[in-house]
Amino acid sequence: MPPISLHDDSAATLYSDHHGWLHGWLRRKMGNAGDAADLAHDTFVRVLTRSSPAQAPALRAPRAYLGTIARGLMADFFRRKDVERAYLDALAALPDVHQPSPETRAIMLEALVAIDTMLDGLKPQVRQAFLLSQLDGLTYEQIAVELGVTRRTVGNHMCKAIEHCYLLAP
Amino acid sequence: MNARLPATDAQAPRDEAVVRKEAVAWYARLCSGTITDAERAAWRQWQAAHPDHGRAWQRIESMRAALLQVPANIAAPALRMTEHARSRRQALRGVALLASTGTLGYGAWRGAGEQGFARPLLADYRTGIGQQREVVLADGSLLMLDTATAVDVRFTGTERVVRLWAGAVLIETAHQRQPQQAADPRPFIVQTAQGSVTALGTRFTVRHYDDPVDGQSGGCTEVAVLEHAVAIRAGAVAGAGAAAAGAAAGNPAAANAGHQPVLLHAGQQVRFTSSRVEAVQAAPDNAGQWRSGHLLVNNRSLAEVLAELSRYRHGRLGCDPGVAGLRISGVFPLTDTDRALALLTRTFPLRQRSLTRYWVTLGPR
Repeated sequence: MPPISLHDDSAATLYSDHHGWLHGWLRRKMGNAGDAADLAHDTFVRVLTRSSPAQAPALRAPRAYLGTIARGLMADFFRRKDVERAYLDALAALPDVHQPSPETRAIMLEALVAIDTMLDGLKPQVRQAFLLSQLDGLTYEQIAVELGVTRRTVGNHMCKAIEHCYLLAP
Repeated sequence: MNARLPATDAQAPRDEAVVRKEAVAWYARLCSGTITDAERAAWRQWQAAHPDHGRAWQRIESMRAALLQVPANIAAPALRMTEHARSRRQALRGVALLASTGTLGYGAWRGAGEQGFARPLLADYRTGIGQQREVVLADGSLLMLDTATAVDVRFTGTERVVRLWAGAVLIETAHQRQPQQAADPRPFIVQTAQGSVTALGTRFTVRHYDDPVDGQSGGCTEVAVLEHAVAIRAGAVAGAGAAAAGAAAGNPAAANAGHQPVLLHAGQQVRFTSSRVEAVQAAPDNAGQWRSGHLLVNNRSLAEVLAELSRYRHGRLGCDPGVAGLRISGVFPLTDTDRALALLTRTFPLRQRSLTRYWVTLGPR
């Protein structure tokens, strides 16, 4: 991350006027002062590293603007937390001989967050069908039984999920 | 979905949305579990029919590569739990999380990986989870596929090659089965992503592990010899297609591996990665036992037994940490894991908790 300089008066004003508010707002939403401070910081980094035209909305409605960016970062933060917790749970279920090294863990966590992001926006049943097919190796017949839908519906779910991922794949 | 285009139009760009829908439909078809050989041939034709098709298929490959980054036995439960946690939190707090566009610095993508996209899906012989299958090859050799296994078989004038993409196989070479007949002069070779195993008139098993070993990604191969011997060479085999491409991409260890074959005799077992062959060990009593459809267990931990059983079962199978070390002995059916679990809970002080059929945990009784 490049060093941040408050090269612009308006940016400095933005920070001094609203940092306290943003931090408090995030703390109430997240229930954790440390995480809230980190995200408040990240939010300003986001604003300050954007090119100047993008700061126009920041000056017109600063709190709405900061809130929008913070909300996006919070969504990413919670996603990462969820994935991390789920990943650790899944690891705990493995026998010791299969425990990956810290480096491998970090890579896998990153990959899982990316997969989770790729699947974001899919309806729960569509997502479920896709995971049963792609990760558990079930046939459409088996997925249909598991989800209690027709095979045709499974086929439609799969096409929807595949196209979604096709567009979002890295 | 007929892709027969007039020859003159073959190079003219096609509409992106149309090509995308075609690629999606083909991939959906390939995943269905009921695709026919004719359809598979049609799919290959479609791929070759227009450069845009190839490019669209690259997108499908990226998607598939993204999913393959994490072993399925970790990714599947983890991604299910995140969905669960998310819906719970939304219900509890009423916080509508904004959908992120996913552009926030997720630059950690490695390439498509050496697994070779979708190879298992398109292999010559495959088994699903919990299935086993026997195939007699053209030379009379017997090839047995364990659960979730994919192999290609390529016999040429100079060699007989079985490419193991996933899972485990047991091989009885023709010479082993019919010793009175003249030996086939062509070497019989099993190739994996990590190297090759050359049969020396023999019965042996080869199993491919996706899991990272000792912190190295890329998995490993385990070989156990039941009769006679095999020669093992770690490192990608020249001309081994996808495997060679993976190793050539800058793995110096793989480049100088493969000079010294390791000889493995009956009753011995060894693991190897693409860069080295580990120390030879005594093969376990139950090597190749899976062929009988049973898992023979002699004083192993519950965690190990469940890890083995879960290969034959869809979904997640685990246990509480408190009982993971419980010593287990017995014979458990592999083709009916529900029965195996019932046997475990009847014989040992265990209780089964099932969230769904695909989510089973054993705990203390």
